[in-house]
Amino acid sequence: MDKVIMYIDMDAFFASVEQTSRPKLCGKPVAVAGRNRRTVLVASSYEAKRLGIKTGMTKGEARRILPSLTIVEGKNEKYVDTCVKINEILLRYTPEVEIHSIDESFIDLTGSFPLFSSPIRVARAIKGEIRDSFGITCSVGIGPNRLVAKMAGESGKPDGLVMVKREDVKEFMKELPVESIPGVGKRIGMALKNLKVKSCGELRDFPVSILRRRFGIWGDYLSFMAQGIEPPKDEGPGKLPASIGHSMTLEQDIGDRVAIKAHILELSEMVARRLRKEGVAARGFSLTWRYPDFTTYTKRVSIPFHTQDSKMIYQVIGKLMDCIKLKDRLRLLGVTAFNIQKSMAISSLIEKNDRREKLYKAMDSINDAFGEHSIHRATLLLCKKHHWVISPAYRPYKSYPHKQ
Amino acid sequence: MLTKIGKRIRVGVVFKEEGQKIEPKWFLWRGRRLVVKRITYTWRERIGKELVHRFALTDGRDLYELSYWQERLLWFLEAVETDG
Repeated sequence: MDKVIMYIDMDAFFASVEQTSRPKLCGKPVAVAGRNRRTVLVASSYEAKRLGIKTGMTKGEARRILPSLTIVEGKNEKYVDTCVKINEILLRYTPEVEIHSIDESFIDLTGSFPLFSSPIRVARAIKGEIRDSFGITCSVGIGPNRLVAKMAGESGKPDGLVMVKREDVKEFMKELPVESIPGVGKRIGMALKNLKVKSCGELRDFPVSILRRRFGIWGDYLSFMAQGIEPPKDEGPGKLPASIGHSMTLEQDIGDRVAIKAHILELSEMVARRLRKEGVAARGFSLTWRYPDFTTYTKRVSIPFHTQDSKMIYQVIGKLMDCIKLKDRLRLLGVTAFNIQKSMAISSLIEKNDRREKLYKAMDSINDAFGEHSIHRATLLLCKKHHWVISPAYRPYKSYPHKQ
Repeated sequence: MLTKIGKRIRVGVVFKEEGQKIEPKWFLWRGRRLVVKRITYTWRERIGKELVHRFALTDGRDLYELSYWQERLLWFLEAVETDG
């Protein structure tokens, strides 16, 4: 029996939630951003998108393009709570729910299919429930695997419902641009265009040996995906992230090294907490810094062992910072962990590390129960309290806190 | 534009489904009893030990943001949407 995978993607999620909450914003160009003066837009409504507003623009840039744009301060808890409630709806149809990001989920209807008359009816019911409960729309794609389901869903945006049966996959993919394949961005899209490959149909027929020579293992994946086949190493619940990082645009440019180090400690804490949540450890770390003229630099370092210890990460990145001769004040700082593997308990054999691990465990439990930053290092008091909005790529880790 | 208020208020509320569903019906603000015409959005948030239920609602004219602090059984008017 063919698999039945459904992809559910909220349309302009954060902006739609804000428009529903505040009916005066309905039908108007709206963008969502943090409170910080220099923060970037994390989402925009379809009305704003049509008028040239894009995610990632600074507030100033967006206002210059569209003075009538309403910029709303994002509320993370509102979006996370809505995501959790939406996934509670999905769980009524199948236990096989995978939260892909805060505004996208996959559900596997294969096992529960006999309970329902057709996937289309399930999709309509889900769309209806989401619209009635939250006043927002979603696009749904149905396919024999996650790749085709996602591409089907994306092709029907906004508020679409597209089903692609296994026998129709070839025809469905034929005319789609290569950029519609998940993971194919501007750079790969341009490289493929240079090879005179514009559509998935052309990519499918293109010799895989040339793709492999040009893109390495990605060449094989591209060829697979153009045929509607999910690559074997595609992400699943057990897949390790390639990197985990955080960056922040500072409220004001800073040149004081003590303040810079405090921000590095804050970022190291954030990265380490995510490593611990994912149950992974890293042995490669990078520091990114940006000057007011937007020139950006990154320096990488590797250590001999894997760690998820925030103090260790801070020390490694701090040493990197000490080696850098700053030519100006800084506008942005970022810390990223890479070279990631499943965390192992070897370090706990060392007594000092064992104590530190227990400390992190206790801190993580407190922050899980009472909210992020409920407990943190005293040095972080040097950092101004930030208000940032989560990226739509954020994936909630846990069930809703009141159920714990 | 949302104007922050952050004042304690008295609210008439119906608790449904064993307290799982909370529906504010009216609230007192500046000596007036404002009747809730429509709840436009609800969400929940953890602040320390507290579970806070938040409501965006309208009296048919203006938009208000109310919060209910479940542990302390308190209601607050958090913000009012004003034109402009």
